[in-house]
Formats: sequence, C-alpha cells, structure tokens
Amino acid sequence: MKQTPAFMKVTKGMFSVQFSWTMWFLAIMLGVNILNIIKVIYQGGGVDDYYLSVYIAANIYMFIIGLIAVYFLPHFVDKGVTRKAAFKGTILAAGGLSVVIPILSYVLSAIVTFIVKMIADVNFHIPNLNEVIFKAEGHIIGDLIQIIVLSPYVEPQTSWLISILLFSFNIFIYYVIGLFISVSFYRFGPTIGLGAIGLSVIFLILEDTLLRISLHLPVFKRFAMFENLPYLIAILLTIAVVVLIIGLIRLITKRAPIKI
Amino acid sequence: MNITIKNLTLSYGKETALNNVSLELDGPKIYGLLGRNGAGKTSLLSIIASFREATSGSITINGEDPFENEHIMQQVAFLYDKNYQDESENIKTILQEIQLYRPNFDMDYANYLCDLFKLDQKKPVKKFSKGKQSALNVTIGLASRAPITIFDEVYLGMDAPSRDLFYKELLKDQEQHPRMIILSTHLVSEMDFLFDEVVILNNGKIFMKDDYETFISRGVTITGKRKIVDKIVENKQQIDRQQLGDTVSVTIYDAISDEERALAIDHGVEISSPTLHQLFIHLTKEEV
Repeated sequence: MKQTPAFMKVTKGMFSVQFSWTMWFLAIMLGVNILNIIKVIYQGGGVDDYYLSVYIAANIYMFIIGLIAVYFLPHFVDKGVTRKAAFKGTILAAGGLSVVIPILSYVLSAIVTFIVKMIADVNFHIPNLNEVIFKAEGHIIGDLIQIIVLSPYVEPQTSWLISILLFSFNIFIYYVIGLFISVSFYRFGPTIGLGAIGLSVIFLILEDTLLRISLHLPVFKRFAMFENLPYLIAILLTIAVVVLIIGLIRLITKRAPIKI
Repeated sequence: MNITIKNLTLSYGKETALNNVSLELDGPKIYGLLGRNGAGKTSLLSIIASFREATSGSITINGEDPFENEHIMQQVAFLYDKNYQDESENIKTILQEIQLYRPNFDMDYANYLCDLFKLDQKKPVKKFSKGKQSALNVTIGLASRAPITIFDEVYLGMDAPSRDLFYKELLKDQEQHPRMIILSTHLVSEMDFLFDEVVILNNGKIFMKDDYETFISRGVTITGKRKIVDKIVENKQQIDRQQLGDTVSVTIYDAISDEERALAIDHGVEISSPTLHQLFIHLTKEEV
C-alpha cells in the first residue's frame, strides 16, 4: 500500500488545527458584528458588513498564527518528519486557510446581510478603504499602521472574485511574514530576529504598494514615484516578493537545529 | 539497523560538546549510553535523531546520511524530557497523531501501556504530574516500535515502581519486537541489567564501548593488607583507592594474572567485581 507523503499529512494536520482556531476567530467576529447590528437597529447609524470586518481583522489574525506556526517545526521533526515536509505542509495549509477564510466570510456575510435586511432596515457601510489612504498625509509609522489595518481592498460588489482573491493574497502574506519572523527568532535568536522584523516591514510596504499598483488603487504619497510601474510588472513583483519570503523561510528552517 | 559515526565533532560557539567521536552501534541490542551531566549524551543523541547536524565528521544510519532523510527519520524515535506545560491536547489525540507518522506504531500496545502506567487518556497532558508525563514519553517510545528507539533520561521523573514497570516492559517488548534501543542515563545502578552493550561518554569523547559482560569483567576490586594489595596492583590502571588503617581496597580497570590471583588467595586478600555503577563513577571521576 502506498503511503501518504509526510507533507500531505502535515498539510492536513496543520490545516485542521488552524481551521479550528479560525472557526473561533470567525465566530467571535460574527458575534461582534451581530452586536453592532443590534446596536444600529436600536440607535441608528451604519455598520460595517461582516466581510469587511473580517477583511480588516484577518491580517492580524493570520500574522499571529503565522508567528505561532514555528512551534510546529519541532513538533513534526519529533515525529520523524523532515523539515522539508514540515515546511511544505505548513505553507500549503496556510494557502488553504487563506482561501477558506475569504470564502467563508463572504458566504457568512451574505447570509447575515440577507437575514438582517429581512428583519430591519440597517445601513451597511460600503466604505472605500482606498480613499482613506488617499487622504493620508504620511508619517512612516502612520503609513505602516494604515498598511496593516487597511490592506488594498476591492469591494465584493465590484468583483467578488477579485475581492476574494485579493483577500486571500493579503492574509497569506501576513501569515508568511509572521512565520518568517518567528523562524528567524527560532534559528538565530533576538538580534537577527529583530532584523527580520525590520525586513518584514519593508516587505509589507513593498507588497502593499505593488498590490495597489497592480489593481490601479491609490498609492501612498510616499511611494507615488512607483505609480507609473506597468501593472503587469507590479503583479510579477508582488508574486516575486512572496516567493522570496517563502524561500527565506525554507532557507532558515532547512538545517535548523531543533531545540530540546 | 546500523549507526556508524566517524570523527564527529559538535561545537556550540566556542564550547565543544562532542570531540572527534567515532562509534558503531549495530543490531537489535539495548545500548546503555552513560555519561555524567554535560558529557555530551543529549548532543550525540540529537545528531542520531536528526535534531541537529554535527559541526564536522559523519554519521550514517544503514549507510545513509539520516539528516532530512525521510526514510531514516521515521525509523528513529527520540524520546527526551519534553516540556508539556503548554500541551492542552489529551493523550488519546497525541497518540493518534503519532500513529500517523510512525509506521510501526501499535495503538493497542499504547493503550495497554496507558493502563499499566495509569494514564488517563482524556485528560490534558499539561495537567499531569511530571512522573505521569515521563510515563507518557515512555509509552510513546515503546509503542512507536521504531527500529531505533532512543530514551534520553525520560524515566527520571517516574517513581521507582513505575521505572521498574518500564524496565520489565522494555525487556518483554524487546524480546517480541527486537530493535536497537539506546538508553541514556547517569542512574546506572538500577538499569545495568538492561544493557547488552555499554558506551561511556566523558567530556564529549567516547571513553569506552564494550559489551556489558566484557566491560564488567575488566574491573577488579582487591581488598586486603596494603602491602599485598599494592604488590598486585602495581603497574595497573587504578581507578579507585580506599584505605582504612592497614587495609586497602583498590579497584583496577585491568586484568590480573593467575599468579597474582593465587598470591591474593594465599594472603587472604579478597578479589571481587565492582558493579557497573562503581566502574562508571570511578572511571569518569578520574577524568575530571
């Protein structure tokens, strides 16, 4: 009987553990969204739809679970799994999660909106996150916070496919950035770990700018000079940066000693 | 299974944990890896288990480099004193996961061992006492039935009756499912009966490797009148000497001839064999 490759087992294991955390995350976000809707029903005003709420919060969520994911490396090597299989499985599971979260939040959002509209007249915001960026007068730290909070956004109403793909891509980047930082700390200690944080900030700014150029979205004033970059090159560079981060993670973990 | 280690050195910065170690372990035997704290036992075992690479030198398992070798790594189980304080999973879940990755894992046997060590499979592992967590490590190690199974002092947290159960179970299972088992310890006295072969590691170097009987037979303790004893042990490797008045007790790591034995008997000098524990203490003490 042919054995299932170890990386597939890791993918399945990592996906199921992180998916169970994700269900909690989505449930908490749903609870908050429902509370906001109830508040709006009684007090008036508007509320973000569920999809948008998750869109904004999922970056941080994926960053955190990416940070935690490094602790699965010793967990798997301990069971006789190679670092390569653990790496492949972790990245594939993160990819799977990055696809599932947007789809689930899109479907849940549609259901919530449908039910709420049947029982009450609630005004759901359709904010243009990109306009907020446009208005921003940048201090670098302020820009960075905005990059994290307000990722490039395409409303599902405009194109649900592009919106979901962009959502997936955004949260996947945050996961790999989290993983990159944690594997750097794990392998090299705090000095190089802190360097990895610095490098991650550059990666995030780069990805944000390239994505905005690719999607013809407004770019931070600080990076306005790149606006004329052809969008095809921007897309290719966006993918290249993600591949670079993943490559660095593999390089760092390839021969990493397991601490006991 | 065969483990061949040649000129292996492992350094952590300026500190050398293993210094030019060469060693061959072969066949389904129980090896006792003895060494004082900091002798390099865990470092050596970590390399065998592909937890880390050596700074220089080579290691092969069945002729292959084990590091990142999927086929070899799944055949080596390394059980160590793991920190379970954040482990919120229960034993049942942990065992089910290990079963996925260890081709020879026997769940029925694991269940039997859990009952033997009175491990509640539904309780989160972090809530177990240190002794129970050690028993879990022992359970995983035995039930994995990996062709190379390494126990790195995992049993230290267990109480004496549990350790005794483990020793008996180890021998029983080794008889039914022979494999290479490496038991690392500095608690030699209660485990010596388990060992087929003994490897002593001291200050990062292989001090000696031999089968248990040969090793034990090399040690001789001679007790009696100082003058006679000194005559017998003259020019021999003395590893311990105790004196009370005119009576001395000298342990040598050397052979004595028939003439010397006859001389001892004639003068009422007693000749005995030291235990592995005593030999280990005397031999490694000398090096410090």
